[in-house]
Amino acid sequence: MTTPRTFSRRSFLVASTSAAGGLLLSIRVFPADAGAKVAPSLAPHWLNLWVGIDPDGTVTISVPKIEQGQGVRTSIPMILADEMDARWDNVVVDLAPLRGDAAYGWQGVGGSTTIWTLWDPLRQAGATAREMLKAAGALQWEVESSECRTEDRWVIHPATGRRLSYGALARAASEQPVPRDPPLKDASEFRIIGTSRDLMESRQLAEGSAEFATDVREAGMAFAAIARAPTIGARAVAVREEGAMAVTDVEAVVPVHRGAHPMILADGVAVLADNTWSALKGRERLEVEWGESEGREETSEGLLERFRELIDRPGEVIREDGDFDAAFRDAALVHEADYEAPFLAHAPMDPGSFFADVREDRVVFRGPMQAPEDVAAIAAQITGLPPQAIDVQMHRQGGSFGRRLSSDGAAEAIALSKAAGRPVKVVWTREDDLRYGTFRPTSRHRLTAGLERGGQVIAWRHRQASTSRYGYQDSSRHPASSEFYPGDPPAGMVPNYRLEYTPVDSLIPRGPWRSVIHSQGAFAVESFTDEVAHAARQDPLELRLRLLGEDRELPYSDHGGPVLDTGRLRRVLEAAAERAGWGRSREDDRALGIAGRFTFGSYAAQVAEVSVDGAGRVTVHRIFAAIDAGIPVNPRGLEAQVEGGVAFGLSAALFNEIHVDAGRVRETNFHDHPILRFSQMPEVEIHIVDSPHAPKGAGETSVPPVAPAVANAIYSATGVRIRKPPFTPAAWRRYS
Amino acid sequence: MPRYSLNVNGRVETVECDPDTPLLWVLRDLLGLKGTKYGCGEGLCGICTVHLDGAATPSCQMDVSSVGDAAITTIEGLVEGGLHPLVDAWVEEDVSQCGYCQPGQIMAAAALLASHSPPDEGALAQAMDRVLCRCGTYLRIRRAILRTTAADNRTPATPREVGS
Repeated sequence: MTTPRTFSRRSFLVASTSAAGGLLLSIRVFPADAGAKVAPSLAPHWLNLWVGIDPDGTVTISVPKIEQGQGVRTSIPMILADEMDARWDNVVVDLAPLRGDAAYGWQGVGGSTTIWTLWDPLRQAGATAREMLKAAGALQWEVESSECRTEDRWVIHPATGRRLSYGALARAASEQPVPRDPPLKDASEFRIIGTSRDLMESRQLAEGSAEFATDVREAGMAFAAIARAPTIGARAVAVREEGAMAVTDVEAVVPVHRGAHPMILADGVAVLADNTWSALKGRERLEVEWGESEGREETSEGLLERFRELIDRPGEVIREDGDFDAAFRDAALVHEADYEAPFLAHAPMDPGSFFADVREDRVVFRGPMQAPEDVAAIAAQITGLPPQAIDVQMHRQGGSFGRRLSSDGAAEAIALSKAAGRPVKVVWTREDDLRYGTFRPTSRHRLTAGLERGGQVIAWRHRQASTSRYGYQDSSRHPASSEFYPGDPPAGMVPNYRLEYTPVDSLIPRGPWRSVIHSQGAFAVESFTDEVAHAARQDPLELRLRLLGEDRELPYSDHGGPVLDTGRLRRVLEAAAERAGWGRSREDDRALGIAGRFTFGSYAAQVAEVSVDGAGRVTVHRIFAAIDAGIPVNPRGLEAQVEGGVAFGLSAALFNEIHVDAGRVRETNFHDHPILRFSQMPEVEIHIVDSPHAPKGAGETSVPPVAPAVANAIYSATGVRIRKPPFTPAAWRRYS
Repeated sequence: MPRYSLNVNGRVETVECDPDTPLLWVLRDLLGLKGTKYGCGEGLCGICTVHLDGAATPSCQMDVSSVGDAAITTIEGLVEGGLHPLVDAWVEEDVSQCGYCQPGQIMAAAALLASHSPPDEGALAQAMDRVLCRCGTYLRIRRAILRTTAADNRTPATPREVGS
């Protein structure tokens, strides 16, 4: 068993990052094979910001990103190790601290951007290291660097057959000048990229020895549970703390004012105790009188009602191609349908604990987050301390799925530590997680299509009324195109296309949820595409391929662009369909549905194989999933993201909806907010499309096709078109 | 304050706490055994699963005063002193994504295999449906469990019980 070791940051980096106003932390090192073969190194010779080598050959590669299940502690070093021709078994990971100078770029995780944005820097860093090693070898042999080559941790001089190991050259290489624009490998020369490698820390995770942000415990720390306003926006008017203080080990009751920072979601009163249970029990016994608030008017049903009114009126035109009205008038066949999307919660298995220690001259924060730079800024805002006094430490975390892009938990903990004058760890229960979430926005979509006599779609209008994923406290923040991208299909594929958007204000907190805007838009558009196909007596796959048309690149100015390649979308649709046996007649009671989307720069299509019993209970038997996320760095890791995307999408499609009644979230735990269980997980047959393109997003791309593929399969099986998830028996009856 | 002597991973541990303190928080906060994770506090997600006399039990649903002298095995006890075949299988199948629920998954699987090895579909579903995973690692969990039972029938991968 290998226990991760903690030790002080290397001294020279302490100096350099301090000078840059950066933030200094401890690091941990893990061997690449999750075993015990490689001794962690204390003092490698650094060749650049990303990689250092020890005389014993150990290659230390920096991972500046937070691990939350996406596998970045494995895939990031794979890219660099390949480019420098390191031996994978020699690689250890250096968990880089949050830097104040952005030397690693953004260190947050979100938007499926990690591999996409680091692909070039990692390859350049690896190539730089490789060239420095070659130069060191050439110097020793008194030959030209260009006469040397590298392979599997060796610098080789082929003319003489001499070779030197990277370890032997480590010091000399670190003293070589840093080359500019070193040559990059051709993809045919990749030896690590594109091969499946064990997840870093696989063993520690299974053994329960990997430390999560939630496991943080420091001397003098109080565990805190916060009683938050039961109604959105309500303030604590009066607090009677006697009941709480009578609980064993409860030490203090401290208010956490929402006004302490705009990021804080709710006014609260914290109970501080010596252990979690005492804090939770103290919170139960705490008596807080809450004031009235306008949040009482907020209901999820009320929003859906409002959407129903607004959807009859034109919204702001976000995109207009051709003349929709004229084309629609001339159409031989028209079809229209409304879709709805409910609020959704992230519900990571770790609801989160947030440690903050605010002192007069410094702040330490340790907890789950996706936006560490935001957390550092919040700490500075709350305390007034300069950036170099703020130490935000990045840990592994138990899932987040977009929830931690909102730093409310961090803000609350920092404000509480300041108010309490001591280190605290704010513990979130599952009830806290569900009731005080930042929910996937709710929306309504009216889709209207016109086809000419030959079956070609000539007119398409998508009108969306929606809460925005941005801003719940400042409701003026509604970027016009925020909830459906103007470049998303079938834009650019239908000559007369109009996208309209009507933003709707709400005080209900919202935020990005794995796959963000695509989760709702894809459901509406991909389901409606299926409807149009059936209305026009066309095969749903055929209609999609007709819409895509010739293989070409369409301009795409939003996240995932700059282009959408219709050929790549076609290929994933065809691959999923082929594997599912699309178009073959079946003899069982199962039916297929298909959907495919371009999201986060990548292409995913899925065919769902579904059966529905007489009571409307849906069973998803298999998902045939094709993905083109560019070159797969770690194929087994990519497959994990596909499986994960399917599971995440299925929980939402089959079970989940967050209701808000009178400013209060109804769902509280897994009994009324179930997520997919072991025996409900379908088989997932994954096809990774051979792709020469640089990697793009992989963590979210497999979510959007799930719900529409299942809805389309339900229609195929039963003739019932469910236009609002979740696809429960009640929904099936309602739409029957 | 009441004192409780608990048989944890083959050792006697004494703790002082309220009688209604869930075993989960005794393990995590008082004994520093942080491999057992909190997920829901209501026995709904199963990720805090430990063994009580070999039976998979959500530790958030067991008051410390009810444990008595039952042998408690946590993930730390299960893997103590060496490699466990389920851990090996978890590594082989690259099961973990975020990893937070995996100790609970392994504890549930270990208890299952102690009585059903190899498990039939019904037993597998009954045991593993009790432990939630938000990352969607279920297919790999299934493969990992079956891998330990399929590899060699002469030495079934029954878990090693720690304690009396």
